[in-house]
This record gives sequence, structure tokens and C-alpha cells, in this order.
Amino acid sequence: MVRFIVKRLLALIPILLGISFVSSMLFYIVPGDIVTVMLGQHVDPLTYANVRKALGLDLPFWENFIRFIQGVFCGDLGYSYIQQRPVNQIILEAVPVSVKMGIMALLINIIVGIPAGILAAINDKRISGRVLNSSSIIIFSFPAFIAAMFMQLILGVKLGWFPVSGSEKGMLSYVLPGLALGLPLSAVNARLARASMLEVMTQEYIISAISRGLPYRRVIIKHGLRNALIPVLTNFGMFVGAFMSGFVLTETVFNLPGMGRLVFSAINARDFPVLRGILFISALFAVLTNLLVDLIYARLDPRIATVIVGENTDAAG
Amino acid sequence: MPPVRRFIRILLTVKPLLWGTMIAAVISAASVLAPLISPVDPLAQDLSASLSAPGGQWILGTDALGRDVFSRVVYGSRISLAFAFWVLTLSLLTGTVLGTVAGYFGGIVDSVIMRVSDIFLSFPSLLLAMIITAFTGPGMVNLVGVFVVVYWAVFARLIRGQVISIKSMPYIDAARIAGTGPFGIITKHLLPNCFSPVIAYGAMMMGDFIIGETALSFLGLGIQPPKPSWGVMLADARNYLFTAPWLMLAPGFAVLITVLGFNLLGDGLGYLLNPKQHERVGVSYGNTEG
Amino acid sequence: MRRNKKLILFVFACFLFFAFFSTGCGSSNVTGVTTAGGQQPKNGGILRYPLLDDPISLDPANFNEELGIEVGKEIYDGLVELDFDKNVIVPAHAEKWDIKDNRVFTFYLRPGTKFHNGKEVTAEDFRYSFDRLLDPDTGATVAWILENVKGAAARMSGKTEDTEGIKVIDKYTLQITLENPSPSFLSWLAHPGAAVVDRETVEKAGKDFKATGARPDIVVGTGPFKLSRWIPKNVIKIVRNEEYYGRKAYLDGVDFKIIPDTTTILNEFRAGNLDFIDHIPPGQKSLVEKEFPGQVIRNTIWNIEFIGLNVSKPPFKDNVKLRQALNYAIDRDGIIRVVLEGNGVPAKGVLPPGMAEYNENLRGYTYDPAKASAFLAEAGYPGGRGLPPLELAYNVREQNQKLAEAVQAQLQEVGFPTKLKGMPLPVYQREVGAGALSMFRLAWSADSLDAGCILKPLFGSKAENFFHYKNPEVDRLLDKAQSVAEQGERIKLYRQAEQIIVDEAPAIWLFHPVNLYLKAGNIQGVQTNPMDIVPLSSIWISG
Repeated sequence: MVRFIVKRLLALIPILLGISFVSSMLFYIVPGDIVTVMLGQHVDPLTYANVRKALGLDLPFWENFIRFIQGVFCGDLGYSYIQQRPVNQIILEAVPVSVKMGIMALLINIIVGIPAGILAAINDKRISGRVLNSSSIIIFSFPAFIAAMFMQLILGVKLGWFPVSGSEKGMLSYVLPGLALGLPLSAVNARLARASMLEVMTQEYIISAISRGLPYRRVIIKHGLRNALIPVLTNFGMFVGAFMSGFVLTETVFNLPGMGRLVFSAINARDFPVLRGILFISALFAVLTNLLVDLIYARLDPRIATVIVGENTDAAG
Repeated sequence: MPPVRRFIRILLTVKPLLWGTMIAAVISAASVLAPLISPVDPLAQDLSASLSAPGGQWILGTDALGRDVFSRVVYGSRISLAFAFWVLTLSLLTGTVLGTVAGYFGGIVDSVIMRVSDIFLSFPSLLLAMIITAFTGPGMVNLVGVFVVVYWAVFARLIRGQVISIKSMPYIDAARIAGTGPFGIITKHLLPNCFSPVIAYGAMMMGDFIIGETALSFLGLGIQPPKPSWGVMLADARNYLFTAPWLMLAPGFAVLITVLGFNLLGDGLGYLLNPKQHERVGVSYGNTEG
Repeated sequence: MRRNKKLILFVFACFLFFAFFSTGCGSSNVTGVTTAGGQQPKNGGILRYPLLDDPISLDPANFNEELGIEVGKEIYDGLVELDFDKNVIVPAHAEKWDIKDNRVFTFYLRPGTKFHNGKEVTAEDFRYSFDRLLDPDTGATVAWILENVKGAAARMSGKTEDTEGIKVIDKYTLQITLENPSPSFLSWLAHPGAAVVDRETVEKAGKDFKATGARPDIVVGTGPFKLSRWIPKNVIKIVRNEEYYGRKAYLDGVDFKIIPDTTTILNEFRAGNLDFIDHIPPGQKSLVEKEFPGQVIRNTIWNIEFIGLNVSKPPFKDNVKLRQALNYAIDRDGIIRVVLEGNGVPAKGVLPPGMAEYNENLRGYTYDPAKASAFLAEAGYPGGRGLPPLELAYNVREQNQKLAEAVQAQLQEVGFPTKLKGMPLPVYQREVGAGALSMFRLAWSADSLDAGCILKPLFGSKAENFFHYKNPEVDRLLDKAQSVAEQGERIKLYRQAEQIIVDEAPAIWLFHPVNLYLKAGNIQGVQTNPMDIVPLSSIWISG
């Protein structure tokens, strides 16, 4: 197991180097010139050159790339062109917002998704189960940002139950974004939970446990739940990876200054150091969470452990 | 039993498949027959009829520039379907080639392809698409390219997994002993047998692509106007929610139904082709927002 | 089959949900609309005001962006200010001034004015602040304000250590000499970028002064408000400067809330969380006037929006008839009604109404498709035959996109086909600046009281090459106007130049936009001006 972890961690190095290289390339290949935007109606060659220099836009590629790598070793992701302050600081301001939003979405996801999936599985032959199942696919087909806009209008503006936007009202501010993000995802998880639950319910040991006279509900909850959680957990792992790069649309609609909005504004402003920092950090987190999920996965189901360790990254796919 | 009757029977037993097929068929028909169905040119403007409510001359009303919403939604299906189709075809193609090569030959080739796909998979797709669009600029062709770059890795992994599991089957060994070369084995024996999960998954991904296009258009990075894409229409409609709700409802409903159709289709196909393990493989985490 | 019925029901229910809520939104409760006519202004209260993003920084050297100006104009002060009621320049730090030949400006400062940190402002502070804008290490985006000062080019290219044309005569007297005479210069000194800063603070802060989220002890100005807190992507709080030398602000403070989306801003206003908004999302302008009667303020901006035509490339090269044809093809009233929801003035020519140089009797263009077709044929392209494929470029923004779509359809109508090309702003700005585009949407705002600030950079031959337009007669008229001191004479020269430009049509003139502001019922004393700057120190909150 330790060997497996070390191997996976070593595989991080080429990934991160690749990301750094490609995102440093972005500085030079993405079209557009933010200095002309900053100068607006008054573009003058002298001013243009001075502003470029003052922002640090005139570094050659290799110097830029090597400086970044050096910085990373000291935990420094560079300096923003536009905001003229450390990228670390900018990212650190944005991460908590996205994380809070993600946690809220996860909570809603768990509270709604898993019970719905289990209920749908238990009542598979009844109407209620079918309604649950078919509504989950409809909810899943509903684009989250459209849901976000409707929720903001109805629950925020019209009814005033929740803040319309912003992050000033503590966790209350995150309820609507959490709902908008969490509900479609809970539909996915409900379906996953239902499927594995159905599979578990046909297993011999469950049937024999029931035939031995153990209460049906208890058997289902005890044996079924554990197995049903495995695919759901994989999905969560992926979702956590998405935290780090934020949720652009939902953050825009609800005005939450998280990672998604940071990415969007960094792209629009061609603020490449910030963009590179985010790419780096989110890749790091995505890989680490996948590893973590694999490990938890292995604990939940020892049979899978051998597959993961043997096949390297397959199970993470 | 003749295959047609058998197919109808399957359709009737697998309900999601029935619904999915029907919806997909209706949408496809609408997109093919768009010139016949839509009453007017989707680009024709009538500034004096700006924001007319549904009813009368305009079945679903008009937008700010006085264009017929119904015609635009109908023509929009062409764009959405063509978009999703091309993304699916091209990413499946790329994914199949790379996935088969990786799975069949293994070793260093496999490692390289899989590490690269790791990089692509470690980013949420919307983020990656946004960054690439900044580079390529918006537009239909560019957008298809962007989505292929984002999604090929998903298919590559899926195919690779299938290839690895089929590779060790006895009949492959038999073919090899019989003197079939790697190319023959791949095309004759491996590929035909790994497509069943991919087909179901691909149908579901069609829905994801359509939502993804909508999302990018919402951010102003999608299909270029005046083409009547649903995403462009939705983005446009956002500010008219109070004054002209039909602008949001018509394309919103179209997106919902189309995506639902493809999801049901994928669901049904998955059930039909692979009844034991028919659920969505958990690879599509990127579009958490879509 | 039961399940299928449920599915249909569910879909139907979703549809109803949509339909019900979206139609139910029409009526919004309007909160107390009372205009306190004739009341005395009173002190107190916090104004909640949205900003679309953080300013890049609160360093005046960066105030070349709307966001920086919106906040910065309250914190900083310069030598003079603009009074738009009478279109004149009024004192700020400078009590009075002498002007010789529009070239040598001597300012006499008001003694005893203070920085927020208590230090007195002297002529040396102004010399430092101005010289700093030209210092190449500052990288000031507002360096254009002073680029005409004697020795500015040498200073900006790093050849000298100070600026020749800026001289301290005594503690309260400053003299500025220009390279060439300029009637715009004094107006430009009213720009928030030409504010006075405290040398010691700036030098101590170093790079931090230019950072987003700078601390209040770094951002030291002389204006009616001072910075109290800046949390990036959240809020900028400013509070009243009790030591202000002029009329002190009525408000206790202003909270600039950073909200990047105009629809969200409007929703926050509806929910009662904002007091004043200056960006109303397209599509909701007409609604807002019904929803909040008496709370909407309309303000015509000194701005001209047009579709530029590249006169150095075919088919526009040497083809005035063709360019005129396009001008006749545009239904400006229709575009204003639909794209701007009625908030615009059709443009006959370049200069906006309200400017002293505006010419009511200008020969412009009206909507006349028949004439457009005829001109198109005369230009050698009957029915559009023989035209090369053309792209109409614009930077991607909702309103621009709609505008481009409308223009495209109207040009198509007379037989002039184009393709649309939306570009992200950084790309667009570079392409426009390089003069590489054939047809492009552009808007130009006046930044001084003198029409030269629009005509010269756009159409002078030393201009930025957007259109590649050159006309020696226009050059002569514009140059002459710059050195004429008497305003009536200057106006005549500018009007002559404008008429020539409009006749030669290097652009399709579209409109002058009208901006809408929306205020809460208890907000009083909003002063608008055609440069779209709302001074917050005159605003007060009633009851």
C-alpha cells in the first residue's frame, strides 16, 4: 500500500510540470493584449511600453517558466499582473468561498440524494419508486445555472427567504447556490445509490439474511448502505476536485467571489499568473483527492484494493 | 422473429429506451425538417414586432429584435444536435484510437497516454473549455474542437479499460495463434466487442455536450450570433425574465427535453446492452455545473 | 404504462412551475417613492453603491478605468474640477489660474488644504504627483493627461529625471508649460488621475500602492471621503473626510459593494440592499421605469457610438458613395428603440448634443433604404454584387451583440452582406488599435470640455489609425482650433471639420447613448453629468 501511495505521488511530478509548462505557454500564445484595454482611448507607444514593463509583462518564456518553478518550491505561485499582489493571497481569498459552497452542495447532495436512491430501490416495484427514479433523471437534465437564476428570483427576490447574492450573511448565503449545485448532483447520486442498492438486494447473503428472519429494513440499511456508498463516494471524490476550480456560473449568478469567478476574470483580464496558479493548485488537489478516494474505497471494499494497487490509476477513472 | 419486430419488442419492454428514442427522433426530425416546420426565417428581424407575446402570428412570441422564437428554437435544434454529434464523433474517434493503442500495447505508450489523459481529466471540463476558448476564440468549429480536447480522455479511458479486459479473453489468443496481426485483432475482435458500454455512455454524453454548449454561450464564449443556438438564446433571455418570459421558457424547455431524451436513451441502451452494470460510469464530474 | 404517465405529468408540472413563476414576477412591490423637493440636505447615512469589479488599484496613476474613477474621484482631488451646469472649469486645490496662449498655465493654490494624514498640500506635492505620472517606473495608464507637457516624452522614455515643463514657483504656486497649445489641458487636469498624492506615503508603500485591496494608510488623498476598508471582491468602504477644504460630504460614508453582474445588481436593488445603481441590464430598462416610477434618472452621455469603416482597404477605399450608402441603410430610431430600449439619441454626426460645439444644422444621414440601394449601385455594387466578404467586428458584450445583429440585418436588407465577428475585449482592443479591422463597432467618449478630444484622436492624421482616415483640410482646421483662444471662433472651426468628416463618412454614425441611473426613494441630490461621473459628496439621504 505504501508503495502504491509513493508511486502515485511520484506520478504527480510529471503532471504538475506539464501543467506548469503549458500554463506558462498560455502567457505567450493566447491572443489579446490587456494593456491596450487598460489604456483605452489613449494608446501611446511610450505609455504602452512603460505600463507593460511596470506590470512585468515583458519577461521571456524561459525566465518566466523557471522563475515559476523556483517559486513553487518556496510555496510562491507568483505575482498577479493586474492586481499587483501575490497570487497566493488572491487564491487564498477565493478558496474558502468555493469550499463553503461545495460543502453546502455536498450536504444537500447527501441529504437528498442517498435517501432518494435507497427509497427508489426499496420501492422499485411500486409507483413511488418509479416516480423517484424518473424525477431524478429529469432533475439531472436541468442545467444548474438556469435553476440558479430561478431560485434567486423566487426564493431570494420575491420571497426574501435567502440573501439574493453575496457572501455577507454567513452560511445562509450559501443555501441557494448549494441548492442550485447540489440538486442536480443529488439526482446523479440517487441513481448511483439506487443501482448499487438494487444489485446488493439480489445478492445471496442479503436474501438468506432475510429468509433467516432478520428484519428486512435492518438488513437493507446495514448491508445495502455500505455497498451503495461506494460508487457514490467515487463521485464525491470527483466533485471535491471541482471545488478548487470553482463553479463559474453559479458564482456569477450569486455573486460569490470564489475560484470560478476568479478564473473567469483572470481569463478576461489575461491575468496569466493567477490563471497558472489556479491551474496548478486545482490539478494538485484533483490528483490528491483521487488518491484519497481510492484509499477510502479500498478500505470500504478490500476486493477493490488489489485492483487499484495492481492496475494503478484505472479505478480512479 | 424478424429484427424489426424484435427491436419494437425491446423498445416496449425497456421504457427509458422507448421514451429516449421517441424524444431523440422528434428532435432529430425537427432539426432535419426545420425549413418546413418553422414559419419564418429565424434570422428575419422585424423591429416593430419587438418582444411580441406568444399567440397569433408568433406561436412562441418574438425576441428583442423581433425574430420569431419558435423558428429560432426549431433551427436551434440543428445547431445543438450538430454540435453534440460532431463532438461525440470526434472525441469518440480520438478516444478510441488512443485508448485502443494504450490498452493493447501497454507499457510506455500506455503510461504516456494515460498520464496525459490524467492531466486533462484533472480539470473540470468547463474550466478547461473556458481557457481553451480564450485561446481559440468563440465559434462553432472552435467550440467543437474545444470539447473534443476536453472529452477525448474520458472515452480513451473507457475504451482502454474495455480493451484490457477483452484482451485476455481466450478467443483473442486463438486469433493471435491463428496468425492475425495486431491491426486485425484490434479491428476484427477487440473494437466490435468494446462498444456496447461506449454507445450507451455516448448517448448520455450528448446531453452533457448540449448543456456544456449552453453554459459556454451563457458566458459569451459559445456559438456566435446571429446563429440561433439555444445557449445564446438563454443567455439573451436572462434579462427579459420579467418582461418576456417566453424567451427563457422556449429554449429552456427545448434544452431540458433534449437532454432528458438523450439521458433516457443512454439509460435504456445501457440497460439493454449491459443489464448488469448499466449505470453511468463516474467520469463526468467535470460538468458539475452543467 | 403508469410510469410513463407519471413522467409526462412530471414534465408538465415542471413546465407549469416555469410558467407560473415567471409570469408571477411582473409585479414588484415598489417601496415608498417620495421626492423630497425643497428639503434641506441633511447629514448622515451610508450609501450602498455597486461596483462591477474591484478597481485595479486606488493609485491615481491607474485611474484610466471607470471603476478606479468611480471610487478614486471621492478620495482624491486635483487642481481643478468641471462644472457641467455651465460647462466651465472651477477651482479645487487651485484657487485661481492664469493661462497664456493655451500653453503656459500658472496655478495659485489654496493654502491650508490637507491630506487625509494631516499634512499640508503644497505646490511641491503637485509637482511630485505630476512628475510621478510621467516617470517610466510608475507605468501610469493616465500618462496621457500630461503627455503634452514640455519634456514629457523625454521623461517617459527615461532620458531625464524630472519633467522640464512642471515648475514650482513658490510654496503655493505651480507653473506648467506645454509643448503645443491645448484647449483641453485644463479639463484634463480635472481628471481624477491628475490628483495630488503624498510623496512620503507613496514611496514608503512602494508596490503595495498599486495593489488591489491596498490598506487605508497607503491610500492617502485629499478628497471629500477617505478609504476606511477594502476587502477585494467584497466591499470598499469610504468615510467622510471631516477636514475637507471644500463643502463637506453629507453622507457618513459609502459602501461600494462589488457585484460583477448587472442582473444580480438589479435584484439586490429590488431586495432593498442597494441605494443607487448606474448599470441597468439591457432588457430591463423599460421595465425599471415602470417598476420604480420617479426613481429613474436619465442622462445623455457625451459619447458617440459608430461602426468604423477602414478607408485604406477595399471596398471602402476611395468610395465615399458606398460609405454614405451604408449610413442611409441604418434605421437609427429602430435600433435605439429595440437595442437601447429608447435610451439614446440618433447620431447625425460625431459630436454629441450638449457639447458647446454640437451643430444642430449639421447635414447628416437619415434612414432611407431606397437611397441606400441607389448609392450602393452608384458605388459600383448594384444589389451588393461584387462585394468582397466583410466582417463586422465587435467586442463581446450583450448590448454590442444585439447592436451588431441589428446592423447586420439592416445592411443585408439593402444588399450589403456581412458576417459578425465577436471578440473578447483584449483581442478586440488590440486589433482595433492596430487598424486591422474592416468594419468595427466603437464608442468614443469626450474626456474634456473641448470637442478636440473627440475629433483629433479619431480623425486627425496623427490619430490612432482606426479608420486610416486622412484629410489635410480637417487637419488644418483642427490644428487651428487648438491654438485659438476665443471659444466662438474655435466652435466654428470644429463644426467645419465635423461637417467634412461626416460628409466623407469614414463610419456609420449610430447614436449617442443615454445612461439610466436608478436611486432608492430616499436618495437626494444626485448630480449627473455627461461624462457619466456621479459625484457622491453632494448626495444625501432623506427621512
